[in-house]
Amino acid sequence: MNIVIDEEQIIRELDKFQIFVKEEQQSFINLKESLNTLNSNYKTSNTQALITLLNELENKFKIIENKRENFSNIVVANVQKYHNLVHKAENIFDKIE
Amino acid sequence: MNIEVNIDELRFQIDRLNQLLENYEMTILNLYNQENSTLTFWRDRKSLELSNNSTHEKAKVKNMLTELSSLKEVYKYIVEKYQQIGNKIQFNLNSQNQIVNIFNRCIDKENAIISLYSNLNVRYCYYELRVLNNEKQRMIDHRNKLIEVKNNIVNQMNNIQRSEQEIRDKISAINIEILSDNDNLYEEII
Repeated sequence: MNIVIDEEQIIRELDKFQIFVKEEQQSFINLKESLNTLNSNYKTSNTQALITLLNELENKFKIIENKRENFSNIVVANVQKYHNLVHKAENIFDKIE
Repeated sequence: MNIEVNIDELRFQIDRLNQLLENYEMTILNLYNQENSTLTFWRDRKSLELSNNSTHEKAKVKNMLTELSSLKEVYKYIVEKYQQIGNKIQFNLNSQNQIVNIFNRCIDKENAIISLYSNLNVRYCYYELRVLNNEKQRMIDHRNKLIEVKNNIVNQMNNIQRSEQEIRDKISAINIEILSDNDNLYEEII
């Protein structure tokens, strides 16, 4: 299997990824606000059940959000690992020479 | 149980929600496309594993989007159900019996008065008989109107309660899939 690691490009792509993550967060906040406004205009015995559904969705979103935060950390850590490996290999080659 | 439904505001907010859901879907698409672009510059066994997990996560997020849409459908249904009753509905369903009893008491009183008219002996007072018969007829018309109004109110109340039950059934049918913190999304790659 070919190994392709372009450190600089990965970091650039990750920056863009972070922007989209922020956009997604804002987008979800807007959705939740809108659903809350809908709820404030519908108050009956069923309202509580709707609020419970909203809270469940919000919890789910938070879990996905946390896991996604790990994504960029994982990529950066892997890139760092390869960087160190390459550095070590260079040292070994230097010694052999 | 108090009921407050503002149909105009709900209708307006549903349009907004529709737009927000479309935006959200677009953002999610951008997010995963971007994630894939990152993976073209990092390709090894781990990046493949990450890509698989990312597909798994994408499916979960898509599922959440469907759940959000189901909620929107419930609100749409609420508007459909209630717009025939009025644009703004405020009512205390607990007072239903009290209101019906007040109507019944008025109807009973009117029935008693109508009976009194019938029992009066005015055989030899022709003019008074005519006046009294007119009054009696007016009273009967009024009582019938009152019965009609009472029946309309009872029907509306039943309508509201039926709608609430149907909405309750719709809400119960929505099942939000619970994600656990331990779900394997991205975590075992490093």
